[in-house]
Amino acid sequence: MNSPAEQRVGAAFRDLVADQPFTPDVSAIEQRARQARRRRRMVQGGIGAGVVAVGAVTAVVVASSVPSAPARQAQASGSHPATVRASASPRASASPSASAATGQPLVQLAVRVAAEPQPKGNATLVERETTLAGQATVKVWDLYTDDGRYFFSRTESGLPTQVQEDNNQGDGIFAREIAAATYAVTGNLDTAALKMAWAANTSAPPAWLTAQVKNISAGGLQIDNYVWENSEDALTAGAGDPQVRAGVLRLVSMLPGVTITHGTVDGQPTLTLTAGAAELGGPGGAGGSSYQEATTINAQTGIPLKFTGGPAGGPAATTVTWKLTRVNLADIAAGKF
Amino acid sequence: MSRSEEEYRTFVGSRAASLHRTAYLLCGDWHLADDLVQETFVHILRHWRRVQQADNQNAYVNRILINEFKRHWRRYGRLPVHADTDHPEVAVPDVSDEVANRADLLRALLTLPARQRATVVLRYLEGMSERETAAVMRCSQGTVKSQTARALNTLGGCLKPKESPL
Repeated sequence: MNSPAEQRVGAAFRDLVADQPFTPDVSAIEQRARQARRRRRMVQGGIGAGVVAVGAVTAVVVASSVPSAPARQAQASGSHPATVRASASPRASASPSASAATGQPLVQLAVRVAAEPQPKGNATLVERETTLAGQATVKVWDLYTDDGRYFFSRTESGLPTQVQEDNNQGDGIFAREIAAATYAVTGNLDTAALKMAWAANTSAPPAWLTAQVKNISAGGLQIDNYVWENSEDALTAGAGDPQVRAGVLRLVSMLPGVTITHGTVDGQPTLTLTAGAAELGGPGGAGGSSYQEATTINAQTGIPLKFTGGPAGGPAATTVTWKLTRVNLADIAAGKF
Repeated sequence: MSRSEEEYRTFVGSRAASLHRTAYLLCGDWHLADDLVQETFVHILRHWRRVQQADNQNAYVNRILINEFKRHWRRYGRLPVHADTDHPEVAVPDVSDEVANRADLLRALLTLPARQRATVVLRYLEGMSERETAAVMRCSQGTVKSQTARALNTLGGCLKPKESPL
């Protein structure tokens, strides 16, 4: 039993907070939770991206840093990046043409990648090394199936058990992201962007997000963040599939805040895609205004080579490199790899 | 939508208002309270299975909220606003006659050390027992008693006995 004084305090508190409406933004909560999980997995072991026949990354030589071609063109003309692209190539054409990609590094690369033959196997095995600044490097194994399932093990020998027990940690999200990326290769880019942005959900996209697709060239929108984050996931989960890589490249080319840095890694040409503030959730978003992240890809195949994240303008706090091989899931389950 | 997602959304709907009120009394700003509760729900979603399995779900969730509040406190080192300048809605005569002035009470509450503030908010807004409050605050019941007594001593000046109608 509370004393009269305590009862008065309780009544006063209830009076202070009475009648203040509040409706949590569940979509934003779920997106933030995904971002947090993604960064945590990136650091501790869970998500990785694949690299076909790529050795250890030793250095990236920075040559230049410019806005992506569609963004440049959009800024120059004041038009939607996708519209710029559409003026040279129908966005719903059966396949992107080489002439459509002139002067547009990511779209041009997407054309080449989309023409690659489908590799053998039905899954991609990723040997992932994560280095945190000042700490030891950690190596883990990711296994992504082409239909979007995901298996993880801290040891290579532990993977067969994960597959045998069907310990799929993909939650269906990778499958939807892969589907969105694949759709982006030949489908309408606005539709593809919406699919990718909302891939974490099974419900229909909300009206406010749908409305943002048409204004994506303006930058600073939530959809920039959603497309970037999920495209990064798709590039991770579908690294072994050229169609997925091509779709991701087309989607990332829509984002006005992404800058492209040309360089080389071990003699191979690279493109480093650095996310802008909007792609990272804005100054008030998950990453905060001081956070920066970038993914380096092979400039000829689109295969991701390296992820870096950390303070803007400072040394990377997290560096992830990948080595990828195509495999058959049945072989992994049988320990034949 | 999966069953787990449905359960989570139901949980959010059922707990949002309560957490929002608690967050406001912790920080004194409705907008920051919005953010604190949003972040609390993000944390809960990331650990949803653990939250579902918690012996005392209420205590677990309030603990997360208080941790979010403390994290903000550590990062910014002060409260975001002053009760007398940013909350005109509280600077009105109290309709219940229980409080001399809402703004005075809120100001007094916000001047309490964070630990005392959290303790009295959990005890008298959330209606938690000393045992529950101790579980959330991860301290002994004796500490809850002492923190509460000190807080009530500070807040007492803002409270007046109920006036009798003539």
